Amino acid sequence: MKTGFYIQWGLLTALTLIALMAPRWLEVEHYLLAGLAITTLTKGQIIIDQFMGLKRAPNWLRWTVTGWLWLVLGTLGLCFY
Amino acid sequence: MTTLTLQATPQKSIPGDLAMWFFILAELLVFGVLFICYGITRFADPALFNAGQTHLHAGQAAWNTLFLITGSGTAVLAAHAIARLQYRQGSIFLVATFASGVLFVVNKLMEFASYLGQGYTLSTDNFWMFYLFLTFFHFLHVILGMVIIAAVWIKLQQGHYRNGQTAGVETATSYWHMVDLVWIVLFPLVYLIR
Repeated sequence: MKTGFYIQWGLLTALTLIALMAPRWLEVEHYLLAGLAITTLTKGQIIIDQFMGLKRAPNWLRWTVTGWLWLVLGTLGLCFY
Repeated sequence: MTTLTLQATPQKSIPGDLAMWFFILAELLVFGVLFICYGITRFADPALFNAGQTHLHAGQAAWNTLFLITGSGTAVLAAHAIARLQYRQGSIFLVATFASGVLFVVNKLMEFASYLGQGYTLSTDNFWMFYLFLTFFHFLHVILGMVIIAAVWIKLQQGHYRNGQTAGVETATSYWHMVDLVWIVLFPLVYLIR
């Protein structure tokens, strides 16, 4: 369990640092938007499935929280596109 | 002779208390609406929001992300340790979760003090109104999360989870993860996206 946990924590940390550097690396706004959307979606999904433990929860709860993440990020993507 | 093999299907269960999950879903709904309001208002005046964003300390906010992620991680380890009846380890991980909250709060207060010292308030413009409101609202949730984690730690010291009943611990850590999840979206939204 602990090995998997450290991999997930390391991934979350790495994605946070990548997101922080993304505005310097990606000067084209659409690329920056896509990059940040991917890092945020990945981090959110790790929190939902692994840290919250919803991967092992009833589907209605897992997909409600996952749906919230996708809906909010999707709507924000439209606002920023 | 045939052998009948029964395969046990893993039972899916809700982590912690169902009432807390309804509370968490209500909180997510509120934050979701606020985020979308931010996006729509920013859509109407991107120049104002981009200009305001250049005054923010993204590095300091990244540290806060690391504090919350680490706190979420230690919360997972605490619940796991208590479920395995390793109470001392669970206690240490709960203290670590609380400490990550303290680091977040101190860092955030320094950030707020810096902006307020420069004269930015809720009435400066739409960007600062949203920025200060969203981050302060989330800040209050971190404080509530710390109170809940502290309550679980006290109950652990009193021996409330000695019978292997970890629902209370899972309920508390689920709330903490929700606070983390909201920040995961809030961080790039107000500090990074241009």
